[in-house]
Amino acid sequence: MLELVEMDDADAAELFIERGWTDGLPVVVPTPDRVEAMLAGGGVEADEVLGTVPAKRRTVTAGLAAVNAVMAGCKPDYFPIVLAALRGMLDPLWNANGALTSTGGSAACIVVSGPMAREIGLNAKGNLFGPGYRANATIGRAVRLVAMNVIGARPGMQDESSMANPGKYSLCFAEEDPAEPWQPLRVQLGFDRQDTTVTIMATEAPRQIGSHSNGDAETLLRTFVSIMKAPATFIVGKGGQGIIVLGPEHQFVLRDCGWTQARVRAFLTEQTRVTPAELVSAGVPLEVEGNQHYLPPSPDGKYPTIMSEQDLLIVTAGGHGAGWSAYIPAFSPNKHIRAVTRRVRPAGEALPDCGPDSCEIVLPGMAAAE
Amino acid sequence: MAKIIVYRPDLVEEVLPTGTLARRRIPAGGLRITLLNNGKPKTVPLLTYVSEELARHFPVTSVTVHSKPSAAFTIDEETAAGLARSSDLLIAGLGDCGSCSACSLQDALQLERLGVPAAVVITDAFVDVCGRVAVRLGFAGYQPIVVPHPAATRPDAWLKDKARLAAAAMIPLALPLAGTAAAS
Repeated sequence: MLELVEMDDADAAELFIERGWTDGLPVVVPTPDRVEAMLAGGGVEADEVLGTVPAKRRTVTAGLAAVNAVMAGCKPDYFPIVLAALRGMLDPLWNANGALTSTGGSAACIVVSGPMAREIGLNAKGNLFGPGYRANATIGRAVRLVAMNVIGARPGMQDESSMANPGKYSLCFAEEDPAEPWQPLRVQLGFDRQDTTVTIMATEAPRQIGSHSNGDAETLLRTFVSIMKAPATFIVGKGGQGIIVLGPEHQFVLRDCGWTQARVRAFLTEQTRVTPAELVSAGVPLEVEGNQHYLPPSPDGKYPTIMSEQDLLIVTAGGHGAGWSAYIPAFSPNKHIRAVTRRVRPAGEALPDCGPDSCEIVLPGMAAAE
Repeated sequence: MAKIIVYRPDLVEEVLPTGTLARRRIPAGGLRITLLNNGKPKTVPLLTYVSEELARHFPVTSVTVHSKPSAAFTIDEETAAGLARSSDLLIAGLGDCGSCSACSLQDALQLERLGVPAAVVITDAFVDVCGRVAVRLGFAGYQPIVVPHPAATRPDAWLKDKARLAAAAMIPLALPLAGTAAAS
């Protein structure tokens, strides 16, 4: 249930900051007309439940999401993407209770793949993680404001981040569909090309990968490996997930050398496995009793950084220029958190029709009773 | 000055009905202690030392370790019910991070609501977060057992020393005073 409050018009934005309802930046004041327009943009009713966080006893409704999306500065046509991101965050696999409370201080990294990204102006090109693009800045911000205001993950309250990272303000970007035969993320994940998907992962901050005059695929990817398996990254040797954002030049080198995305995933997953000696030499203790983060080693004695090839997402985006890409690691191993992908439902799309038989299903227990 | 009407963006904190701590008692046959291990480093030795200290004061028939698959999740209701049936005292830990402290505290409070005395062992950095979670769960004032942070990097002798102090702190909170044990 949404609650209305009255305040002085001139002081409203300041009052929102004073009451701890913002991320520290001024917000757009959520008046009823703005919130209704946001809900219309998503094609949802205010009381629609997007999901719950049982351990925090919190329920996120579309209405509260719309209020926070207005505050973040979203336009109504961004709202279907905000809704999909929140539905992903509220999936039990994402573990919002753990991810939003942890000292690890993760960003809610949002990757949008599909035509809707282009339609609303989400940036997939130069300055990918930087300022200047309203959709990128405000969609991620809306999700963070919901985490703070609705799920209760406020700094010093139920957000125990030690360092956090700047992506906690907003870390949202689009994918630039790659040239054939490579496939966009949504197709790699099994969705249709005409769909738009949102993938949300609790991550550390992005790390740039610079490799400027390298025309050999394997040599280029060894640079990627060097940053991915640095033991200071928490998931190294513990089996996690990650996102590789391949800039245009690096994509070109890999495709030109005949590499598929599957081969890139397989190579990076294999090459980022670490030996006990590598971890110990970097000061990471292995033999601590009860150290839950470590997995049993593989038969060859190595530990995975990326749990499996399916746990590494290959996304094509970024600006032309000298060779840059980025790596965004999950903040914690798979046993605690997982990325979730949701298809974006355009506003007004009807729910699937289950057909005339849907009312005729008889559960086994009921049949026995009859 | 002109007034405007706006929506509140937050959820007003929902507080559970005030919980009642389980009755503190020692069964005639002695205590069945369950150590609810969240998998954080040094949890099992630390909690084991705590149980050994308790055994110096009370009859203990068994000490069982139940390990959670992840420190970042709470136990489900079925697991809690099973632990309640098999335990006279549950000791959860080690809360030495944000999510694991909150989850271990919630695990302990689930057992309290099911009638089993429970204690949660955390490091001192997470007293505040546990205090806030306890209020939200209807157990304002519930006192965790606190050891210095960090514990995960400490040698065995340090763990034994802190376990001794933790057990001493636990007795008046989770168990009848030693002198009254037989009468409880």
